[in-house]
Amino acid sequence: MRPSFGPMLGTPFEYGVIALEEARLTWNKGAAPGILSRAARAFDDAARAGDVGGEVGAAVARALAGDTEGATRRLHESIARHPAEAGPYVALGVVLLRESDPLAHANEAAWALCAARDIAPHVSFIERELAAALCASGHFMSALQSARAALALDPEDLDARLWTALLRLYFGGDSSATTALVELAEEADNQLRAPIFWLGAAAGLYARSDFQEARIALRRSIAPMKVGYEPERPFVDAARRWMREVRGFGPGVAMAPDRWLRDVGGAQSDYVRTRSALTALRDACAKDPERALAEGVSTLEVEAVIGEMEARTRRGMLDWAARLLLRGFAEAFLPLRQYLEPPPYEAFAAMGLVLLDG
Amino acid sequence: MTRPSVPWLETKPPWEEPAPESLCAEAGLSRDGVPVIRLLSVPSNIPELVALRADRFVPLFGEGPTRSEAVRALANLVLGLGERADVRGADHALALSTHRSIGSKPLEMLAHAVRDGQAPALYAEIAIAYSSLLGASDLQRESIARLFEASPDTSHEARLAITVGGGDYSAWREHYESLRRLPASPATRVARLWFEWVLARRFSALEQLHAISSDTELDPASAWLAESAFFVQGEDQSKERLVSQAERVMAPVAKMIPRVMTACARDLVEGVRTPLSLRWKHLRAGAAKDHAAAAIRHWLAAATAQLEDDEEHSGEALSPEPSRAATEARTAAGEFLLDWFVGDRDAREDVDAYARRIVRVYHRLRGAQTFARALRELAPASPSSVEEQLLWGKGAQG
Repeated sequence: MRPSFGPMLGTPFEYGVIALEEARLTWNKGAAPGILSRAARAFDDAARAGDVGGEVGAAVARALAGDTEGATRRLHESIARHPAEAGPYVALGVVLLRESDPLAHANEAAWALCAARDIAPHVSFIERELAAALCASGHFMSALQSARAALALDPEDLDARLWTALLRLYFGGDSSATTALVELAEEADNQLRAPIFWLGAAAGLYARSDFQEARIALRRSIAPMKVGYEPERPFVDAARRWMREVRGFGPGVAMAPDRWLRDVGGAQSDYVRTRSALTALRDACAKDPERALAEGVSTLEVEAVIGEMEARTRRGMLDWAARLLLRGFAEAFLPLRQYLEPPPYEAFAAMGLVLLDG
Repeated sequence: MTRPSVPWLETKPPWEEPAPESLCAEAGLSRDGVPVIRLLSVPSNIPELVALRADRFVPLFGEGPTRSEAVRALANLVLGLGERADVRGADHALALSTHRSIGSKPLEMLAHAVRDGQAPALYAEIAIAYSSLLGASDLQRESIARLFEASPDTSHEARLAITVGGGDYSAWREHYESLRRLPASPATRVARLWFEWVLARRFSALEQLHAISSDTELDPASAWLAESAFFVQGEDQSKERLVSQAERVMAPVAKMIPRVMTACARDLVEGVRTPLSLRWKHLRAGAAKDHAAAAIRHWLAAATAQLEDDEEHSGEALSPEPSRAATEARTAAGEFLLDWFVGDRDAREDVDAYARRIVRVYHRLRGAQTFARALRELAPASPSSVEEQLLWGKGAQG
């Protein structure tokens, strides 16, 4: 077949990369379909010539144009043909996280990005996207490790800092992370990043009881959306819904001494009553140690179970808080980000969609 | 009442088929020497054992849904569980429940007859009590009771026989789900609350059990089941009450089927011999639950209470449904809060073993209640048949 592009414009792959970059630079709640179509056709030509980059680029261009299903299928085929290449895995992870329902695809995205990390270690973009995917799929400890790894590679990485701070706040119960979240939004503003970072700031502000400020932060995060514009409504509603759940969760952190007992149900909860019953049993054993010994009950063991139950419940509070609020954040944040922002340049670099000088 | 015709009696009944020659040869019997069993022998003999293996027996209600068959069932209980009964008398009696060639057709016919008003509901209850008193497994008791579930007069007893169980295959949770769907009656409520307290370790259920025990007139078996829940909590005198209540339920039938007393006593002794240890294991299992899961409900309830504040951005109220993350978390929390399979396996297994024993005794007590009622209601003016003499005549001592 005759190539669609003449030698004056370079190879089809180069042309596709240039078109994709043009789409990225002219991004305004999406890219112009014409540019993406041009990129897709150029990459198709490159793919026909056996270029794995062409296959990845063709799929990514289609995903950015809205055909994520087709893009996912193409990327799976590409992975089957080139299992040792990182590009298709990265692209698959990125495409899946740009789905309108990221929680449904988070496990697969995490798998793809894990594979990409194994093939191409020490890439900040892969680590930070993996952190997002793992958060959305509910693997918070691994998410924290990935976010930390991304930060180690690039301390200025805003996304990695955002996920780290959120994980510290909700999964680690570290209230000092609230400050980081607020500062991060201001920094994102300075870097002309989309206002979605204010969504994280809203969490930080609410956690430290700045309720009015949190409300304002939420407004700022959804400010680019047109009021009453139906296609943008799901993004706005997702952010508002998440904020509502943050309010239900309340200020502070899950295991704070003044609230965790109340949160597990107070005096009438099974937790409190089991603990009281265990305490009563311990007293009964202390009163009649011979009988306790005969029945195989030891005061020390009872005390150990009381301690273990408390520790497990306190830890459990954080797990459940993370399940509710971190996954909820991913559910609101990721679609909003993919709508307002194109994939960053590092994403294309990690996929191998860049032109090298010389 | 019109007596329904019994199809398998119109030709040669299946139990009159000759015993296989190999079986007879193995036992050193001629084929004519294998009897057809209507009533068990005391003690069992070789020809009877061969007859049981060769399906030469009249199954439960095999001759139709009649009074004489109901009396025969009671008589076989006495013979299988009487003082001088064979060591494996209960097993032999249980073997008479269904016949290999006609399966559960006699009991199906009984169920139809009860539903159509051709036989009293008591006969169906006798069939259920038959399996309960003999200590049938969950599966066997359920397979008999299931036949009587559809009839309004027998559904209550049948459903209790079906749903109160789960120990044989650790299917407590599935049984609890079925129990929750039953129409509310004091007996089903007690059973449900017993499951919630003993197996799901919920204190609210214990309180409700206390309330229902003091406010409602419970049948003796249900009252005993409630008492077994209080025993787990370590209440004073609960052990004595458990024993005395069981004795009271058994008293009217104790002389006729003393082996049931022995079986119940064995289970009870095993169950209640270490109350402190049981309480400890129960609390340990309770402590191993994921108590933090309760917080999800609290947080989501608080979020729902703030709906009126959701007027950011467009001034429009946000619809009340939670996020996908919240919905999934709430579902998962629901699973955890009802967790029968807590991590502390040793503790859970000991509590499960207690529950299995209690459930076995409970069904025996329900069976004993029915047996006592049947003895009252079916008593003839003057005992004439062998079965009647066994039950109401001088042979009533087993």
